[in-house]
Amino acid sequence: MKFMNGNRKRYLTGIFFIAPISIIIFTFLLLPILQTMYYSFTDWRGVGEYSFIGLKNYINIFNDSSFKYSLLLTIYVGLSIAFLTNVIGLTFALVLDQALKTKNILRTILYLPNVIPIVVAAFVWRYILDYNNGLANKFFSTFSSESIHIPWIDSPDYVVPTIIMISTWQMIGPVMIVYLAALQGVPLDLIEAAKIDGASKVKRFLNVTLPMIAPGITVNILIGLANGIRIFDLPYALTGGGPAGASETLAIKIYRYAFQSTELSYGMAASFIMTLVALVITLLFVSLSRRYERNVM
Amino acid sequence: MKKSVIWLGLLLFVLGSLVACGKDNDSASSSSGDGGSSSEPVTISAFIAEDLFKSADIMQGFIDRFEMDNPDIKVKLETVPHGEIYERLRVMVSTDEMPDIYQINVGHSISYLVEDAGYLYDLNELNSASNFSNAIQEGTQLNGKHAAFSMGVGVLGFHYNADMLKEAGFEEPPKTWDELLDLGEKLKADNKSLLAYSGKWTTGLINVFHWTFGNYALKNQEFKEAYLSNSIDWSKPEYREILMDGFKKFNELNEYVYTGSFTSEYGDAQQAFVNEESAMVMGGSWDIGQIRDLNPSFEHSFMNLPYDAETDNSYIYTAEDGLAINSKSENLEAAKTFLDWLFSKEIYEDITKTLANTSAMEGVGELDPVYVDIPQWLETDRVISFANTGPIEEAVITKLGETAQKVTFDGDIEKAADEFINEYNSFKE
Repeated sequence: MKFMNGNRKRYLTGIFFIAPISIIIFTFLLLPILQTMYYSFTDWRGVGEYSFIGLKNYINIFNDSSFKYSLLLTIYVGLSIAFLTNVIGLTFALVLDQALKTKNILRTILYLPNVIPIVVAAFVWRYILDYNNGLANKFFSTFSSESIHIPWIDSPDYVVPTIIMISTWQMIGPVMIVYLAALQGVPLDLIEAAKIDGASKVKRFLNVTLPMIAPGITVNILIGLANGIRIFDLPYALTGGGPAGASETLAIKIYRYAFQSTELSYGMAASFIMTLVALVITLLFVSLSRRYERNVM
Repeated sequence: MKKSVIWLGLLLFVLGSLVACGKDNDSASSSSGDGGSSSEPVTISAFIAEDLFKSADIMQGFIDRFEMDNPDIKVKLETVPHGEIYERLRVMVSTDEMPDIYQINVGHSISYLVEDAGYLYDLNELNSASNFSNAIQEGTQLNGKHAAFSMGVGVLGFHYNADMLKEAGFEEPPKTWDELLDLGEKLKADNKSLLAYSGKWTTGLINVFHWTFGNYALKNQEFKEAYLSNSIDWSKPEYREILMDGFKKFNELNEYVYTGSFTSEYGDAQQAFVNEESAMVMGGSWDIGQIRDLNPSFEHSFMNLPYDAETDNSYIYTAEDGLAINSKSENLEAAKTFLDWLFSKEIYEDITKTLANTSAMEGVGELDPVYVDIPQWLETDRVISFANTGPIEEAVITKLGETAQKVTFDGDIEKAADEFINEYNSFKE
């Protein structure tokens, strides 16, 4: 009986601890998601009466070729950002993990883009990448006898790589910090043992360092994917989704449906699809990362 | 035990906060009802885009003058960037948090939403309603209500640099589409652009289509009615042909457009014009103040787009954005007093002078010399009074701009037309 009482007390204490955050998560996260799902099957415009229209919003969305483009673009941007931030972030982390005199300054410089509000950064980049008078084109022109005009944000062929580049530049800092923390947790004796066994630098990295920082890889892939899939502010401020809708990510599309039209339920259906896509991709990569962690540990 | 009490307290605090969030904000409202104590001034809220009065400071200046004349009424001003005004209003309608006075454009779909939700007050009840010209009174009607007091008259067109045109061999602005393209070709040969669009945002890029639809509406009443009721049947070959013509002409024009027009801000386009990188900038008669701000001594003129032969070409005229009253306002009388004061002839004259707007009231204000031709245009029977998004959802208009741009990059007009029509129909349903 005493055991039962103690157990119950622990149980209640646990409930007590998680109650505040559970209420907040339910009210501000789960409830809106459920409401979004509910309204996505209606023709609600944000005000007034509404009626159930079944899957009509979803059918219309999937009949829209530009929605499919935005969906694929978002997945492409999300994966590219996750890949590039991880590769470049890890590279910088490996360099800065060495005994460099300038490593603190370099860390600060690399982290700096992340503290600039992305909308501000977008406006600055817009002037740097301006086709006619931008700094980037003027810089490249100095290496050529002719004036170079690269349409960084003014051509559908260039605008997506440009957005990935800027987003990667902005997100490298936090990714690098996570890797630096993970690298500092790698036991030196393991590295030394591998050295004594004659393992080359590459083999030491692949067989000792990389497995030891695997949890960091999982975290960083998650950060990269989450930031990439929900990307909105950068392309919206930089190009407004243009030119010709080439940089119209799913989040911009949803914004247009929900807030630039009176078709709120249509936007809700689109946002529900985006949530599912984000969930599937994230779960897939997390499970792959976890499997890798299990295999190497 | 102590810890349990602390956690219980924390839980109650969180619950209390949540309950407070869900409560009506009567007590938190900045407004105090008309029925309040006579010694306390009534506070009304006004919500506008920061550029409606050129800047928030200018609007605040007028508010200060009003408050001096009416010490029992205070006006609390909230401004947002130009691009956010309708999104914010949409949210305010949905959450039942409408300000006492707000900015709308009668042609914009948000106005229909505001009316449906019962927030649109009939301004005919105000004395100053009769100050507006008949055309503006008609142009600002919605469901029989005088929906907004317009800041001015807007006519779409091109500001052009006559000197650049002369250098390209044009003593007069081009009168036909072919002449316009010829001018573009000559300017291009000199590494200059014919025109810059008025920015990347929705209506900036589809301006050419105002003439596409406007000119056809002059000839075809059925199309005009379908356009205004957002029910165009694009399966009709003649309607599709008109749309295709719009895509074709937009594409032709893009050969000579200032690169960056598809992704730039309105101000960038005007800057390119003032810097003489572009001979024209697309926009309207509301732009003069901003152009003069960039370069007060910059000489330029204003022309209509020669989309069709002069006899078939429309003049696109619209009442500019204006101020409306929340019909559910607790401070209705105070809001009416403020708008009556602001749109009295005396104050409105000051507004038009300050903003360099084209006056919406007869006999009030002076027409800027740049717009000297506009009164003659408006006397013709070729005036089309729908502009900006009209009754069409902004997302659909955006799609029109996107698909039109796609033609420029991939040349597939049929595909672009199908994509736009699909979007139009999905919203029409």
